[in-house]
Amino acid sequence: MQDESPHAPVSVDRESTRELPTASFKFYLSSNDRDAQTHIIDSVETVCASVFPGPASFEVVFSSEDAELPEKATIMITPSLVRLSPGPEKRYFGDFSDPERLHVLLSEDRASTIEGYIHTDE
Amino acid sequence: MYFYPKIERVQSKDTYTQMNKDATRLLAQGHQLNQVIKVLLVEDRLADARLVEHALAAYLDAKFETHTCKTLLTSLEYLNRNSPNVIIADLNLPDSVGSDTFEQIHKAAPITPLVIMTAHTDSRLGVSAVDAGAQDYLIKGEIESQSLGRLLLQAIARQNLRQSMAQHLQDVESSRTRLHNLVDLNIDGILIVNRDGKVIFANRRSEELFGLSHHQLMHHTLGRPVSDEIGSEIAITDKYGKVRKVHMRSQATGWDNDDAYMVLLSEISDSSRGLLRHSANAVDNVTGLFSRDMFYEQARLCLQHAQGNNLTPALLCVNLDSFRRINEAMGHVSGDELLRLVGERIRRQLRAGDIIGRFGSDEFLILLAPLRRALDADNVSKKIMESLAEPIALAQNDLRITARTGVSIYPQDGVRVDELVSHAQVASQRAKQAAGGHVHYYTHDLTQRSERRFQLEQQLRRALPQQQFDLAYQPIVDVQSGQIQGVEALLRWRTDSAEQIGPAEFVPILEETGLINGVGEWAMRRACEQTQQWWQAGVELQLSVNLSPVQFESPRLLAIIESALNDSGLPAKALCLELTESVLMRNIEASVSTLKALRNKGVAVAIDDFGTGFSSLNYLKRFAIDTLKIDRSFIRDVMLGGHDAAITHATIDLAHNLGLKVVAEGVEEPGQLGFLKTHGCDTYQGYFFSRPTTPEGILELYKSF
Repeated sequence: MQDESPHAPVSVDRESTRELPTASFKFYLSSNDRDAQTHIIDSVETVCASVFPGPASFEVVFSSEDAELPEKATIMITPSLVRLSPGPEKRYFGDFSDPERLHVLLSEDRASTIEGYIHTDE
Repeated sequence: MYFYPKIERVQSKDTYTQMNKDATRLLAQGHQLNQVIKVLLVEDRLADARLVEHALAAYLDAKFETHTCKTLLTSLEYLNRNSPNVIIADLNLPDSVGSDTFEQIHKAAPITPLVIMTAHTDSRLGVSAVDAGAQDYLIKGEIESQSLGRLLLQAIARQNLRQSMAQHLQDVESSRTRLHNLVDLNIDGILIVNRDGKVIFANRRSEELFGLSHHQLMHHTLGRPVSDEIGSEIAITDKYGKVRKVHMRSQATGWDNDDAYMVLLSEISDSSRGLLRHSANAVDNVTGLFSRDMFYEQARLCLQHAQGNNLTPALLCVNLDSFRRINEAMGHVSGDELLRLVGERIRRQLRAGDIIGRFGSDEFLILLAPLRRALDADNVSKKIMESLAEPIALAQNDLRITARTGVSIYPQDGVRVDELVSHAQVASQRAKQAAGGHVHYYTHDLTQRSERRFQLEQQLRRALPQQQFDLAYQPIVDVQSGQIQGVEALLRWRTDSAEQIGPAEFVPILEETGLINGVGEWAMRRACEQTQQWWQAGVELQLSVNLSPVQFESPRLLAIIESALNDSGLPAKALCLELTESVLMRNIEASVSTLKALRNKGVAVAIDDFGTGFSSLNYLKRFAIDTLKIDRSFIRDVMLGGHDAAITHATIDLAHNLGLKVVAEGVEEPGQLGFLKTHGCDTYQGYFFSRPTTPEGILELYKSF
């Protein structure tokens, strides 16, 4: 579900069912041609969920040229995916149309992430 | 007794091992090729020379051919014509002693290995020579055939190794420059990000795409690229919020022994096409540095970043002195090579983020980007000037060049690139005029002076066609009789605005702009015509005409004089050309030849302002001259009887002993004339007799006698 306002962030929250640390993502996209990007959003969210199963937050942020988002200063390339938690923060940018490649990168980073995050599926 | 080479002091063990291998290889090569190794032996004591010659003759593994010189002078002459493979030199010679001998020989043959021979009691001299660049030293009395031969072969091998290392380093540096240009001038943004997505390298185009300085971009984390090398379209939002569409490709790579990604960013939007169009002209072909357009483009970006960040970029304009003459003397190929080497030297003094480009033939512009204090500009300028003061090896010559630097600072001296460039150029011009000052900072006063100079230049360009020049004539009078002997023709300029501008101000501009050629030729013709009119009226005066350096060095000089004499009908003996000492000393051999040609034509030559330049009495006898003109500064105080009187007296005697005539300039008082009479001066000129006047005025003065 997406908000029609070009400046408002869109959240897609997934229910937490287990007591595990919450994985939190923000996905930054250019505001033009939103419809064409719907399948990319679905694909990225699916990959995030598969690498970090469990309670998670996945927020989609559309930026536009005149957007005054607080992240504008630091998000310089769109599309960009930011993993806010588990920390430390990780960023990915470029073409997200290849889910396998994204999966590899997220998995690599998950393996090297902070201690204490226990993945129950493994 | 065996002599063991004392190499350990100057070479590490590993290098020593390598040297031995090289010596062995050279030895083997020499043996195989039956190579004759030419040795220059500089030794004044016959017994010591014989000892070395015999030791080398007895060496079996290579053939040495020894040439012995007993003095420094003969050895320097020998080195001028020959290229020995190695030099053995005793530093204490009849005509030179100690380190002076070493320096002179080393300077004459800088790449030939030099082995010093010292007495047992004087081994410290050998050690200091090795420190200064000698390959090794021998101690007299400890010389033995096998060790001497091996030592010489090792010295040659070491020198060859040094040479090849120097060449290798130069190749590496050239390659580095090419690679640097390839990356930094690339129309695509090139980024390297590490595994955490932190930017660890960014080229200039990336800085422009993100609207960030190099420093700022290096502190950003972009992330890990998720797309592969096939490429994809992304959007970049710069710090001002502007969005650019960019085609991105990425590739896994290594960087400093760690995993990293190389990201290539090609702008898709229209604005990139302009950059693409001029990127073909982005690099100066001769030096590999930025061209004018690219320098402006990069400097503009740099100033943009400086704005608001409290940074004070400085713009340096470095000009080479006498490049045109070097280019003419050594040819364009050498000239281009010199520019390349100079560009390279300057670049080595710069830091990452500084920008350098070449503008005119010998003008280098540098933008020192991240300055926080104006003092930094001073440090960098000094480093650049020091690096250029070192001799430059060019076409088997050790060339010494001088340069000057003008500096303008952002924002006080300008906020636009063109303002800073023009102000740095003005300051550089000022550095040229200032005695001893090779670095000059721009001040507003310079602009005013520069504007006046520019205006005068524009007016002077119109002056000749608009017939604004005229000649005045100052009588040259016989000291004893008081009769006018001749006249000096002096250039005058009647400007549009009737402003009085003296030759001291406008003649230098004529010389710098080359306008002096046309104006000088006009003056020569006009003065000859006028003098011929006097001759026809029975007034046979000798005409003196000043020649500027540009005219004297012009290949057309003789043709112009011949034509002026022929067209006017004036006899050659009636013409005297006045030159300053400094003009003659600029290129002594050429001066000797030109003066000889002038004498063959029957034209007389006078040295003007004698005593104020770098007079070398030694050259006076080589130059075919007829007259010395004693400068007015000596005549002014001649009556006080101090040094000036002594110099004037001595100059008159000297000139007469050399068979030259003497003219005293600037005579304004009867006492001065009295002094000149007493000491036998031939002629004089000055306000005492007459100011410069019209041709009619000259006739009146002549007839009134």
